Amino acid sequence: MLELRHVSKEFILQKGGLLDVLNDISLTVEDGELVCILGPSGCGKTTLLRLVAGLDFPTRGEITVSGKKVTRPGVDRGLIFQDYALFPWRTVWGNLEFGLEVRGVPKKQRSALIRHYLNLFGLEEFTRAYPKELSGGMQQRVALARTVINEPRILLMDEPFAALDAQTRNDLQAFLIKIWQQTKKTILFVTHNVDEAVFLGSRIIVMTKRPGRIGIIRKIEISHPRDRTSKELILIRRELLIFLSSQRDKNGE
Amino acid sequence: MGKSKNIWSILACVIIFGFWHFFSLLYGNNKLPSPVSVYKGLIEIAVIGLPPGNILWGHLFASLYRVLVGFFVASAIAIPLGLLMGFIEWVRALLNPIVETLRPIPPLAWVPLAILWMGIGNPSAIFIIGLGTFFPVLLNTISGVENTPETLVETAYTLGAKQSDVVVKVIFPGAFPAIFTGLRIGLDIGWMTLVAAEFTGIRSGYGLGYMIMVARDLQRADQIMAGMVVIGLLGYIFDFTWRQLEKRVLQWR
Repeated sequence: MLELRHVSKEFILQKGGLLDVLNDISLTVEDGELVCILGPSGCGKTTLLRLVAGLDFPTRGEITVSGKKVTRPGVDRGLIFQDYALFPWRTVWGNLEFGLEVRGVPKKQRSALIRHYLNLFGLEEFTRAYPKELSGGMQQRVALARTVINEPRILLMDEPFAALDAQTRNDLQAFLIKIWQQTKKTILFVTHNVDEAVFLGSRIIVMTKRPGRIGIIRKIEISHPRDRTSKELILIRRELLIFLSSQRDKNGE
Repeated sequence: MGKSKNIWSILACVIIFGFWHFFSLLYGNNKLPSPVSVYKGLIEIAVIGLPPGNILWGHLFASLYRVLVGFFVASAIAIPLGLLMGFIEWVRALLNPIVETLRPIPPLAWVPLAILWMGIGNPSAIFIIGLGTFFPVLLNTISGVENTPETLVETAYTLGAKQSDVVVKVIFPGAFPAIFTGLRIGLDIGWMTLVAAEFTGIRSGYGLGYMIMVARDLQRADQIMAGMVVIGLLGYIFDFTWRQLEKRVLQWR
């Protein structure tokens, strides 16, 4: 279980003064949930994810995973970036091996695990390829496999499909659902794309403009695979879009 | 394409040798020796030696030895130092003023001090050559570290890497292309510093720079130029070898 209690974050600006990025966020994510965090750009949703990852620290409040306070990055929380962040000097195999290697998993065990995950992610034919030789969608699959092979409890995904074309994005969303159902990971998925949030999330947290607070929380109890064009999804989408546009009006944009 | 390029190269050589020969007739063979005289002078060094007995191969190996030792020692200090300066902010803040003050001093300006400290001989010459190599390697290593994407470092931490893993498995390979460039420039400059180092650092024995100095004392312009040609050709071979190496080592780019 992931818990955020009254988490706020301020950044000290270089020219002086403080920038309020997150304001009093409280949130509980149950094991196995797929929570989407949706919000306008600059609302602090990426910051929120970085706090959970332990790459940055809240100014006030605290974050716990299974009751343990987050103080630094850990293998229980895997992070996926929009730009894939693959090690370009390592092959697909080498990228998957990285986490196992630094955690000291014996070599024999590594090979078996890597083979298993290459298979699960449909990457067998790219085993010896370098990242630059792969398409964006394939690179993100590798990044996902590299994280999942490390067996984190929670997957933190920061707009992971935002740089991909629409078709590839749809494919990867469906693929993520498949992986999620198979591995039963907890996923915290940051996006600015309403369609994506509605297609994926068991719960959607919509954030306000900066300083980011929780605007609305919307549970979606429609089972997967979801039909993007179904009436229920369209209605939810409309509800969220109305809220998001209200956020824009308030700030005169 | 490749063939016609070769033809142009050959044509350019013919034209340059033609001009060279023409001007040598104009100014006199003792001031500007013709290509043929230089070739004969070279053969003379190879067979009889300059001074007699000290043949070309001895000079060549003495110089190669000095350059390679200087290059390796300087690189072995500059690369780890550059990694630390690039990765740890306070180390850079501490050392940057010193580096930036020492860097503009030409290696030649160190000659008197080198001789005072180490006397005339190999250590002085190697020190001067090492200085020529040191700064390009150091600066390229630092900028290589700085240009390694932050997301790669953060990814490594979330995958369970310790700080030492990050330095060895992320920062170093990430900076490696830049380090490689630094080494190439460093070898170039070390090689260029060689003659100066041997002019003053070596009083007797072997070395291409020393050989040129002897030729000067004997007023043998043909053998001075023969020495220059050997240095130029070797520099070209270095660069060629380096490029081939780069293609192999950095194929992931």
